Amino acid sequence: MGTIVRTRNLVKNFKGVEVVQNVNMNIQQGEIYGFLGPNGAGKTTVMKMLTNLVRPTSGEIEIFGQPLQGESFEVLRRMGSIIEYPVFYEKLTAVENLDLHCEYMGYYNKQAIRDSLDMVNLTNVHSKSVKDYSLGMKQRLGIARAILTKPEFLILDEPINGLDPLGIKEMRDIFKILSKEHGITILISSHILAEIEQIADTIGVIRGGRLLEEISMDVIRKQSTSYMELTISDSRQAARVLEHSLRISNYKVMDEKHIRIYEIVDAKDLTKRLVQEDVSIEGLSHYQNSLEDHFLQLIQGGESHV
Amino acid sequence: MFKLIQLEVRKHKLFSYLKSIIIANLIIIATLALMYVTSETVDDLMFTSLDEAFKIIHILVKAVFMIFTAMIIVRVLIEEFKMKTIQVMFMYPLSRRQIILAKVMVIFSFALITISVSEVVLEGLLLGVNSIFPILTGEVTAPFIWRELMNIVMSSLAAAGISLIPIYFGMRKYSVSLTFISGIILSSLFNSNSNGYTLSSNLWISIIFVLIGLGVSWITIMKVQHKDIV
Repeated sequence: MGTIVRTRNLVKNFKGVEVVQNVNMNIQQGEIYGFLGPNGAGKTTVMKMLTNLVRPTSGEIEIFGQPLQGESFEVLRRMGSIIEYPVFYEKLTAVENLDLHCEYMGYYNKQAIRDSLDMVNLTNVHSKSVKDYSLGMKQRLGIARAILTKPEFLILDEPINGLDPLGIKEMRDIFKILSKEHGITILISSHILAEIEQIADTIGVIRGGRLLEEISMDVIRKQSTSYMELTISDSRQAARVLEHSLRISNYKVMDEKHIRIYEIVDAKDLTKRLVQEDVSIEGLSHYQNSLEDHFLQLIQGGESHV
Repeated sequence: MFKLIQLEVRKHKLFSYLKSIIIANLIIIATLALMYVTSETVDDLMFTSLDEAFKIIHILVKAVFMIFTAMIIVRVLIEEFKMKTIQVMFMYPLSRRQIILAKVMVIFSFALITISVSEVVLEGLLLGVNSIFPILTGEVTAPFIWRELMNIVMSSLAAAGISLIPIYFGMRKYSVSLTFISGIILSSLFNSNSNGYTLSSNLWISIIFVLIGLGVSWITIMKVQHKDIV
């Protein structure tokens, strides 16, 4: 398992503004790396630097173990990508566009064009020129083009943009297949956390040009906890009940009306006890800390709950 | 490189311009005929000899196709940058400079071929017509034809080089209109005729502008290597 991409102290300045600051990124072979960040965080700029569309102001990039230089282009043969939104030659059809892609990439398997169009479910588009495509269709065609040559490394910038829920699920399945069955390494950026959560192996969180964290999903999952949230009339009184009658210590008082319990408790027992001690219960639910909480915490700089 | 050029022609469907090129030539013939006929009615013939007629054909053909070439510059070069399809091109395993060089060669060849072939065809047509209805003076001998062919080759090469100049204006802000306007101004500047004298008849001026055209293309090819595509 090698490192497909490594960046060291990657910096990009645009007209005096540092849009990417000291990013140290590591992407392992065969994994799906989820690149998470709000709009304007620098995700697209980093991706453009990985494909040599933009030159870094300073710092190094290594792809497939080789340093990426201004004149490097051979390495691009092993990569496929969608950056920002996919662009095509509007007056040509899907097949003509994909055919051109094959020619420029030096890829000679014409059957692959049919295969990738089928994979992204873009059929019945033989004579339509791309200018008549909907956003969803263009997105699918963009993905088809990126995966066409079965590249070793796939860079996808918000690939599910503009797709309907069914399309999103289809794409999710495709990415999983590409990763698990074809061993393709995928860098995927998104701000739809629920999606990234489902397919990523490693997550890189970027904000304001800085890579805040690079962490494996396994570690996040272990960190996440399930809890029970109580909505009561008086949380202090309820807390007393928890401590003395029920001997529950692993809990947090959120505010006057809410308590979170991080231990495993029998709900019937709990409610009976609380009622006995005159604590009126308005609600009781089970929750799981998700990526969203983790992410929001990170983004808001740890302004977590009391 | 040849493959790149081929792909450019395919990508932008350059052969579809054949129809317009033929129509342009027909218009030039019509204009020529019109010039002759109307000047006859005022008893001040615009041209009486084959040489004079040829000169006018040169002017008309170059004027028209220099502007046509500006349009090709837009299709093949400027639009790719404007529509951002160049982003896709630069992510292919190809040298950026080679990609742009191929485009410049397509543009240059377009100008060269349309101008020289049109001139040969139109002059040939004129010679044919003239042999049946001898209106114009001039002896059609072998050295005459040879001289004229050399003339065509040299002047088309020069015109093609000059046709590259709108690249500079177009690449500044990826502006379609600026490319066209510069093409039109350049074409009028070079091909306007006063008493049989055009700017292009002066050898030194032609050379300078051809060098400008080539220089502009060379700079564009060199600069593209380090451009950030945002």
